[in-house]
Parts: sequence; structure tokens; C-alpha cells
Amino acid sequence: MPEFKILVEKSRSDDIEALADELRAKGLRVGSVNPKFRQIRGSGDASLEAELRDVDGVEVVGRDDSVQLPPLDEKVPQ
Amino acid sequence: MSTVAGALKNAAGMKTLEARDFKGAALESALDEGNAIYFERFKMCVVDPKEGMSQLAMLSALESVQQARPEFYMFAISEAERRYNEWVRAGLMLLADGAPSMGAQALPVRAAEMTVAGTPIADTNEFTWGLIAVGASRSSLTGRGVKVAVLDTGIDLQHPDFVGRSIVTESFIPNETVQDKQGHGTHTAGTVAGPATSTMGRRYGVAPDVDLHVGKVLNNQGTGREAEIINGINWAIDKKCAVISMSLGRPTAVGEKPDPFYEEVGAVALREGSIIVAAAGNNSFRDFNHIAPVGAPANSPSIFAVAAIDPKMGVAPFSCGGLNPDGGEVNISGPGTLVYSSVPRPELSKVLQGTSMACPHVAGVAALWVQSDPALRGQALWNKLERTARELGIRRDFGRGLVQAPGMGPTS
Repeated sequence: MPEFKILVEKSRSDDIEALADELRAKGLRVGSVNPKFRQIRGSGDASLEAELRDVDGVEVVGRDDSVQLPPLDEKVPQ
Repeated sequence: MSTVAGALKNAAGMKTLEARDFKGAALESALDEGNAIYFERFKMCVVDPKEGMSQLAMLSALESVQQARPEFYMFAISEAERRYNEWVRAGLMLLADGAPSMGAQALPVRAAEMTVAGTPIADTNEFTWGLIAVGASRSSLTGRGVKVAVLDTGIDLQHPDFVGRSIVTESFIPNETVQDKQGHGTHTAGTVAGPATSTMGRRYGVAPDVDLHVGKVLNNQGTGREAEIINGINWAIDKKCAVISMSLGRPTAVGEKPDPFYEEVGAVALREGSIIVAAAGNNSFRDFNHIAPVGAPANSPSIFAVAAIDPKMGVAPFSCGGLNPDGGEVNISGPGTLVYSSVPRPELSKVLQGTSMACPHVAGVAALWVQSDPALRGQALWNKLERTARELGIRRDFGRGLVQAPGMGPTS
């Protein structure tokens, strides 16, 4: 199940919890809400992505990314 | 061929075929099917790593592999640009050899720490070359009282150079403690804050007396989710860390814009008095004229991107360049090849290369600046680091130049 990240518009950052509830109602399983960074993270069906974008107060919807270090070897730039 | 074939089979599940057995397009089809094609005449294998750069790095680490690099499109660095870089570097070497130290806090430069024009700076019995290059070896500042966060794979708390030391720790990885099993975090934390007198030999910590905060955001396999990294940054800001060192990232494409999520995080951090220092990335192959753009999150305008240089003051061949607009530039450079630092027991120390090694040099120097003037926080610290860097060459590769401890670089 894809992990989503949502950046909230500045105008909604004060009531980000209420916006998180709206996203829950759409089907997002909210994992974390961070008012400081205006960000909400959660998981849901892939088809949910477009729906989340349409919610009033949502600025950007993206997929949660990851990083991977290379092997700890002197020949390999870290 | 049998040695390589066995290694590729074990490490990547690839079957190795002899190139001489193929003609024309059949060879490409064999590659598409996941095979490795071996050219006996050149002692070279061509593979199509399905997992991208991480698999390439894994292949590089194999004992029977001398070098693994991608095939790439070439574009030229102009002859004039190359000559300018050489000219600037040669001039700086001359200056470093003869110039008096500047600034009230500079201690007398010792002959053993100086470089001879045109020759690389080397580790001495007392200091690593990185500490000499950034001026930490000649500074009376140690970072005392300054909070610095290293967000990485954790730290070996029982390492003889860290055991008994007061370190604030937090793991953001489910079911894993902050104890470092991978090694990367112990190395980067060592470069920031290894002790003034190491149990192992020469000093390798830029700012040995910082109030070290270690957040584990990458697991014991070296993998981390963005959510965990963001949680780590949030924690470091809440802890009032002046500097947040992040030797991590992912490659970006030419033309790719910065991630708005990291951009917001970096902007908040600066407003709250924390500078996020991040590795620019290692995806260039400059020996073959291939330069890759600065990776994410270092490509965010609000995050300080660090390139890597070598002991001759040249850009490291793997170091990413400022190709992308809107924040994808290099801000500064730090020592990033032949970097000696701590790793978890039983190995204790290791020499590594990468912008991951350059980044904590900059973080450590940033802490020295905060100690010199506690008002230097956030954007003010950013500006000070840039203005006092020692210019090395074009900004695409070096940013403002080599980071310098207070009193060691140009005055501002």
C-alpha cells in the first residue's frame, strides 16, 4: 500500500488536525501530522492520490521516498 | 572469468555469458534478460543493474571488481574552465604555504601542518588531512556548548573514543536502538565530534567538545524512509541543535526541481535557528566527464549542500555538481576523500570517501563558528560559512569553496 505525504497550504496550517480528519474521511490511514512542517503522512490505496489532491487546503501530494546507503567499503563513495 | 562470474552470481543473481558467443542484437537481448556479458579481451563486464545505483555500489564493493560505473552520456567541460580550476588551485597552494594566519583566534601555523605547493595535504601523526585543510587543527575552538545533531545509522556507544561520553540519542527506526550496526553513522559522527585525544591515534573530530545529538534515521541495513528522516529533523530542531548533519540522500535527474516537502522543513529549521547540512551526492564520474546533479534533499534552497574535495584541493571525481536551477547548487566544499574516522567495534577506524564524509566536516566547522559567536544561528550561520570559505574554483563544483574554521579563511 503506497505511503503518501501531503503538504498543507499555509492558510490551513493552523487547523491541520481538521484537515487530517478530512483526509481520513477520504480513506487515508493517517500515520503522522506535523504542524511545524505543514505535513501529513499516511497510507492508502493508489487510487486515493488524485482524490487527496482535490481536498481544499492540500498544496502538494507526493509518495513517501526512501534512501539507501551503499556498502561501507573504501572503494565505494558514501 | 570464473571468479567474476561466481561473484556476480552470488551477489546479484546474474548469469555471466561470454561476449564472443553473441552477434549483433543478440547481445542486447541477453543483457535485457538480466545476464552479464563478459569481454575477455578487456577484462570487462557489461550488466544492466535492475536496482540502479544501489546495485552498482554493491558491485563496486566486490573483491574481484576494480571499478563499476554506469554507461553515460558525455558532455564536455571546456578547456578554459579546466585551466582556470588548475590555476586557482595552484595559487591557493602557494598562499597556504606562505601566508600568515588571519584572525585573532588563529594559532601559529606549524610547519608540519603546511602543504607544499602542488602536493596533497596528508594525515599527520596528530591530525587528519581534513582537519588541517579546514583549519580545525590550528583553532583553539572545539565546539564546546554547541548542540549538533548527526542523523544517520546511529553510533557505536561502546566505541573506545565515545564510551562514557554524554551523547543525547534517539532512534526513529522501529525495533532498533541507536547502536550503529552499519558503520556509516559512527564514521560521520566521528568526523564531527571525535575526541581531541583519540585512543586510536591522530585526531579526526573537527569539533570534539560539541554537545553531540545522534538520531538514528537509517536502519542497520543503511535504509531510511523519508518519514523517519523528517521525524529526526523535527527532533533535532526541538532539541535546539544549531547544526543538523545529514550524510544521506537520493540521486536526482537533470532538470528536477527541489522537493517542496524538504524545502519547507529546511526553511522552518533556518527560522528556528538550525542549519541543515547535507551531502551533495556521489553520482558523478568526473574522470569520464560525467557530472550528476546535486541529490535530494541537498538540492533544496534551504538546505546547505556540501561537495567533496580531495587532498590536492580538487573536486572529488564522484562529487555531484550544481546543474539544476532553483536551489540545486553546491553551497560549499569539505574534505571527502581518504577520510579517516571511527567505525563500530571491532574494526574501530576506517578510511572512507564520499560527500557523506565532506558533510560532517562542514557541520563540525559550523559548530566552531557558533561557539565563536552564539548569535550565528540559522541564516546568519549559513551566510558566515559561505563568506569565509576559501575559494577553490567554479561554483558548480565547489560552491563558495572549502569551509574554513573561524579565523582561518577570508575575513567577511
